[in-house]
Amino acid sequence: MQRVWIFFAQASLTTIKISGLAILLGLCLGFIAALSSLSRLTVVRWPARAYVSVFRGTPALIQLFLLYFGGLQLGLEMSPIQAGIIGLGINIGAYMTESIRGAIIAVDKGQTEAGRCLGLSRAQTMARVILPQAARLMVRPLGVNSVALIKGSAIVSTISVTELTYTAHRFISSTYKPFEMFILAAIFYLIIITLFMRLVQWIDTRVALKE
Amino acid sequence: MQDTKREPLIRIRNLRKSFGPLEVLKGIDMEVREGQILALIGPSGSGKSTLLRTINQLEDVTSGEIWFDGTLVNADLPHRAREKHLNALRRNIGMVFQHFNLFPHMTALENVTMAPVLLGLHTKAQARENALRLLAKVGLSDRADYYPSRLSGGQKQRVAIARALAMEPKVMLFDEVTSALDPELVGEVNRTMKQLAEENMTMVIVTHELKFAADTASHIVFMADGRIVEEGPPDQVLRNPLQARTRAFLQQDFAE
Ligand SMILES: Nc1ncnc2c1ncn2[C@@H]1O[C@H](COP(=O)(O)OP(=O)(O)O)[C@@H](O)[C@H]1O
Ligand SMILES: [Mg+2]
Repeated sequence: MQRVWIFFAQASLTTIKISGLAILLGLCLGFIAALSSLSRLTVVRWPARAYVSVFRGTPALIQLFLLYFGGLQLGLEMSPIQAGIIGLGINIGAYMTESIRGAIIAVDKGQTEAGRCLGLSRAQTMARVILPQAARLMVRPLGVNSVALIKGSAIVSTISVTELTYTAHRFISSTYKPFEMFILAAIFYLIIITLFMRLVQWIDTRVALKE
Repeated sequence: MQDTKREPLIRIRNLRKSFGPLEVLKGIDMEVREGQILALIGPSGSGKSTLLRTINQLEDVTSGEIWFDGTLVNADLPHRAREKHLNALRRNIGMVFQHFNLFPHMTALENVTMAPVLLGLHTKAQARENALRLLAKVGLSDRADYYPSRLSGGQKQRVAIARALAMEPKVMLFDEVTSALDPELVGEVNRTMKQLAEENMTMVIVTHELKFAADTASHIVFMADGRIVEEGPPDQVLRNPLQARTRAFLQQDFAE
């Protein structure tokens, strides 16, 4: 049993690594797509909207299989971990786009007017006036997206990444104790997510409006 | 007078503006001369805010011309060029809003210094010095490091005035800047505006405070239903109006 704990702890690190990198990728894609979706130009707006619709409108598992197995078929070779990070990242990025876009839209229109009236360009107004205010509105929704991603990262077990869920399966086939193994996996997920929510709360207080 | 021979700072010609099927400005002709304090009065919904906001193109127009300091504001330009043109113009046109629109994530001082530094008008040190001078001028030296959430409405509005002044504009536009204030805070903002008027700042003031308009303005424009009904010096428009529509508005207002 001692040995099992160690394997689960190692598997947690893999889950954390994959989720962490996927979150970073999702944030990058989310910012780009959110800003694009607010562009004046249809040719910039349209791909961003298409990205969101497609990746929110299809199962993450299918997206992952397309990337990994489809990629192999087309000669695009990736390690399971790479495919997992990219697949999860692109998927969560679509949800993050909506969180970021929502936060930007929620900033009072008078703020944009005040910025533009002083002679600031659209980009300057976005960077100096809107985004700093949108930032505090997006922390919580992005936190919710990220927690969903951490839980959803279990799907990469299907392409044999040795993360938590995969490890549970592996020990079940050698020990025939599904109940214990899944409980153990659940406990590790709970710990990761609890710690992660602490982090989100800390960030939230950091970006809160000063008085 | 020598001054009247000069080009007016703002000249508006046959300006029309529709929101969808609703025509809000129905052919406005108006001039603002340098140093003039123009008060724009009229019933709610008559198009005063819209007219003011077309001057710096927060609202685009349907037809007509707006000239500012010899430049056609609503020139028909490709998007990029128009943005550049407007950014340059807007630096010279200060605006103060009914709901202040201060930047809540910046202190009073930062609100005032941000644009001049970002747009290269001043260095950081110059901008700070200038901002402190402006905050002193509006009576808020001791509030420089406060965030807007800790200021009263009247204080917020005075910071907003200082923020607009920091760009050294050639004209200041005020849109009902005391309407959102508690009655006891109106005076401090009015005094600040009066002080600017005495320093010969060119101002266009949309207001429903007729007494303030009478005391401060050098020229009154009365609007109703998207048209200018009557204009002239305060003594004439407010005390001896020629038009029945003006008289009705004034009576109703004084009766309130
Ligand atoms: N963005 C807008 N979209 C549609 N209608 C508007 C908009 N802004 C103003 N209006 C309408 O235009 C008319 C004039 O409004 P406004 O200029 O705000 O008048 P005032 O400032 O004199 O009260 C009103 O009927 C108002 O409802
Ligand atoms: Mg108005």
